[in-house]
Amino acid sequence: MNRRSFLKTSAVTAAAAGLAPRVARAAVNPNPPKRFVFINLGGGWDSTYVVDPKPGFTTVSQAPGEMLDYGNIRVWNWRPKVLVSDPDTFVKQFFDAYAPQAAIVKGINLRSVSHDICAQRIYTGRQGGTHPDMATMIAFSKGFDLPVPYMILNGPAWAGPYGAAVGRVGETGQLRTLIDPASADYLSFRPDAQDEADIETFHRAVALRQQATRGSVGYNRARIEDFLESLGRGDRLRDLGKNINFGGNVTTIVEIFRYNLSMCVMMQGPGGYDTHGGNMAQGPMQDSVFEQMFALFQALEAEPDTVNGGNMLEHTALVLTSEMTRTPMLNGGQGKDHWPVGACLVVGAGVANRQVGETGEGQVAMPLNLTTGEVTGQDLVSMSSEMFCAGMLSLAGVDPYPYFQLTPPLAALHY
Amino acid sequence: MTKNKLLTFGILSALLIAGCEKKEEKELKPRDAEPPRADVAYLTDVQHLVRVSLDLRGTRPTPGEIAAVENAKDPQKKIRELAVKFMEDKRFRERVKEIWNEGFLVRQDRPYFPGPPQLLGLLTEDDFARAATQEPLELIAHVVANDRPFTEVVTAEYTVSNEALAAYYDITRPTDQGRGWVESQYTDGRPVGAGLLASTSFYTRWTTTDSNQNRGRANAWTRALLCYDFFTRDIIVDTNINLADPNVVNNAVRTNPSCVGCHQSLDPLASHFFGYFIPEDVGEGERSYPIKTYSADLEPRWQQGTGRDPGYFGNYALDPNLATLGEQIASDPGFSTCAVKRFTSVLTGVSVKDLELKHLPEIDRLHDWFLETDYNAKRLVEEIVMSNEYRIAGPNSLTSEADAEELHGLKLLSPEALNRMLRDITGNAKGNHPEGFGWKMESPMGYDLLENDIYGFRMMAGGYDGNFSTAPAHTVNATHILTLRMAAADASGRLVDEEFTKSREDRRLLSEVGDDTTDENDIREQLVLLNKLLYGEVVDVNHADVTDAYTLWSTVAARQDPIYAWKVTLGAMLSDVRVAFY
Repeated sequence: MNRRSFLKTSAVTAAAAGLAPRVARAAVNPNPPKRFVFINLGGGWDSTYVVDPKPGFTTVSQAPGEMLDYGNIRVWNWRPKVLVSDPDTFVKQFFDAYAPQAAIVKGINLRSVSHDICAQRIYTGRQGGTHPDMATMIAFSKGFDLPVPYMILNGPAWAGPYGAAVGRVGETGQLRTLIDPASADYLSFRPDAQDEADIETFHRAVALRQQATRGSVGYNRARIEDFLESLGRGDRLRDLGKNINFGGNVTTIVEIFRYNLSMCVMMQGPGGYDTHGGNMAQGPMQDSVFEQMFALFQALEAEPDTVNGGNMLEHTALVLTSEMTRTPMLNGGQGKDHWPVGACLVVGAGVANRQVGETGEGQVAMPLNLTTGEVTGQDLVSMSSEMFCAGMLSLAGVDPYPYFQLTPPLAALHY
Repeated sequence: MTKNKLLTFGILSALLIAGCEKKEEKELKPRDAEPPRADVAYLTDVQHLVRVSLDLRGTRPTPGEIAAVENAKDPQKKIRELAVKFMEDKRFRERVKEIWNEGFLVRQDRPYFPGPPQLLGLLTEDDFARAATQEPLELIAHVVANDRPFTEVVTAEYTVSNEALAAYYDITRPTDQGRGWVESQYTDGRPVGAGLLASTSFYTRWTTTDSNQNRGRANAWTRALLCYDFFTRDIIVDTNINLADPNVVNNAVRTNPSCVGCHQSLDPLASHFFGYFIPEDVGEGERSYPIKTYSADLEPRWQQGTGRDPGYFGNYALDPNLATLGEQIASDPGFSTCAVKRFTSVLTGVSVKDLELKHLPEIDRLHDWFLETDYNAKRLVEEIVMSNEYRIAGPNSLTSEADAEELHGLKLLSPEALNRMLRDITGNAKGNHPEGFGWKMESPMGYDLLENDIYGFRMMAGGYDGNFSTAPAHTVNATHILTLRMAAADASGRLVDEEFTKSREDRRLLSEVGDDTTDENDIREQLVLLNKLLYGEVVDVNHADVTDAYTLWSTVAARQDPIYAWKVTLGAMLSDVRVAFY
């Protein structure tokens, strides 16, 4: 589906519902990030280890550590220094440097303890796996003209009807071969650049003719439009991608942004977080994620942004989350099981520095004000995954209405 | 009884039986489907043949098959005959496995355990992965291919194994039935008569923990076999439950209203699976093959686990085990309906959810037929591919805009089908490479790059790995286009070199031209033939498709030579929109 078809469909939907004029839509972020990095922690992270500490709660098993208070947000340092010479955890190093740009979201109601369904809900807002995830929606709306608006290094993704906007690097960097077939010694025949241009002319002509016959409207039309768009994207991917090594995650992300290949990138954080036993592994695993985040932010800070001015970090936001969290208390095997409440760290450009929502005793999600993030005062509602994802779109400067219609977005993610 | 009476009785019995058989034969007809819709465009007969061939064999029809349909008095009857024939092709087994993997998600690129030591060096990593992860899929393919009642997938008194799987686990595999997957027996005491419920691969794919107590597995089974997912129910957690206390939790799942809704059905199912104990690893030093994964002595562990008797949605067998569970599933209409939905969904491109919402009469009709044929999956598939829903090509001038969104007239070619299609097209029984060319890695990996995600391009070409991506794509993207182009160019390069070493009558595709032919009419005739062979489209020499292809060919030939031009042109035709979608 291309953007023109999408906007037309959205307008028809809104008009048919007769609702558009009557709904007061929340304003989107006036200074949105230009790029997003999503880091997924597969298996369900224990949010008490960093972003949602609960020391002193009788209904929560909190790992030892210390509270780090950064004013608007507070996080847990799971391994405080014992000796002066001990190194700080990467959690502490990261927040020492970037806490003023961070929002911590707590209490997203996921209403499930299934890995699959919670992942669908926290990333797409909905269940079923047929809806696009927030990275796809953001990239489709704001980065449509880039070769691969949403690039997945590794990790989960749901493209919904916008599959043409999404691409993968491959587990061992196979994308390199597609970008430069000359690197594949198993190929017997590789058309040269002029041949490729001629082939594309042929492909376009045939596709346009197919569109006129079998694909004039509806589902078929969208598929043929996807084909036509992907032809151009493939060309630009080859042109720009040859500059990228697709090696380590951090360097790859920086290079993808440097060459303006994509607007959103997804990577899987190191470690497996489904700790039904041995929950203490969460500490070192999460620290290794913050090590990568710290390295990434430093690299982005050192990278000039030739498109938007300043450095890359000034225009990039990072979203760290997991499909679910873990039960408040340890089980008999010193593990924690699945918990249907989501948490998320959003940090970087355009992000409001605040805590958004809260969990209480027993790590239960508390109602919040969607605009302020406060859990006291007026207009408190229970935060659904739809509200969270709609809020992420709003943070990105994307009107959530075409995707989530009447769902009020979590506007507290931005000022 | 006298001899005469006996004779009379025998004759009468024979007549009666013959009459019954005749009646039965007469009755074995599916109910009439809804008539074709005026507001829908349907595939032409040859296009229909192409779709059936791709769906059932993963490759395009041969020139002979196309000609048979074109020349048939009743083309639909001929297509039906060919569909039946396609299901006898060994590639149909692969399609059955692909269809069911969308429910099971057991297919993995890496085996759960390292390959058995005695086979290291003899088999590849790909061989081990396929052997160790696809046991349930192979069992289904075995049942379907051999025309057994589909219920046998959960009641079979055997499993199937190849040499590698038999070396992994306690399996006795007959040695007199050749290589490959054959009926075999577990010898570790697991219940007999449970079909794939007693496989190992499902339990290595869907592992459990001390606290989960096989509940995730139970749900994976109901999702795969009943199209029912407990997790689709919303959960409202009662925060008063002390989750740290196993006794409190055990009590809550029995008595707390917010828990009981699911657990009263889920837990009795989970109680069946306690005989399994999947080791987390087999270390180098203590590697012990065959690996022990089941013990009948452990079956009663459900008493300390879920605490609920093994049962099936309120039904309790006298002496419950995996085999009684298999019987219960087999007799559940939810199982046969799910099978119908699964086959229909993959073959028509309509999701299971949409089938349930919008296509119930057709599912009902197909289900009746499935029961009438004693759960014969091939006859079900035959009925699906001959249905009007399957033949949808797209909207026409009468279609409303809303309906046009629902008409899935273009199906995305899967990477597996692309692989088989290219192998088939580049393979030539009369040439040096009857199996065709492909991208299979050397030993010890042995992965096929279009069917693998570690080194290959499966997900990048619209496939799924069952982990990060759990369903196939329905449209193309940039990496898909690049994969398609690269694969098609390579295949055509190899094909053209091979073709021109053969006499024209022995060629697969390029039978109308020589390696130095440049006459426009001859080239156009060849392109007309390619349009028919590759897309099932019958066009004349002046058709725009032929003209565009000729323009490409002549442009490249002017720069290079005719052979090179055929490589480029054929590669382009094998990667255009009519191949990406069918």
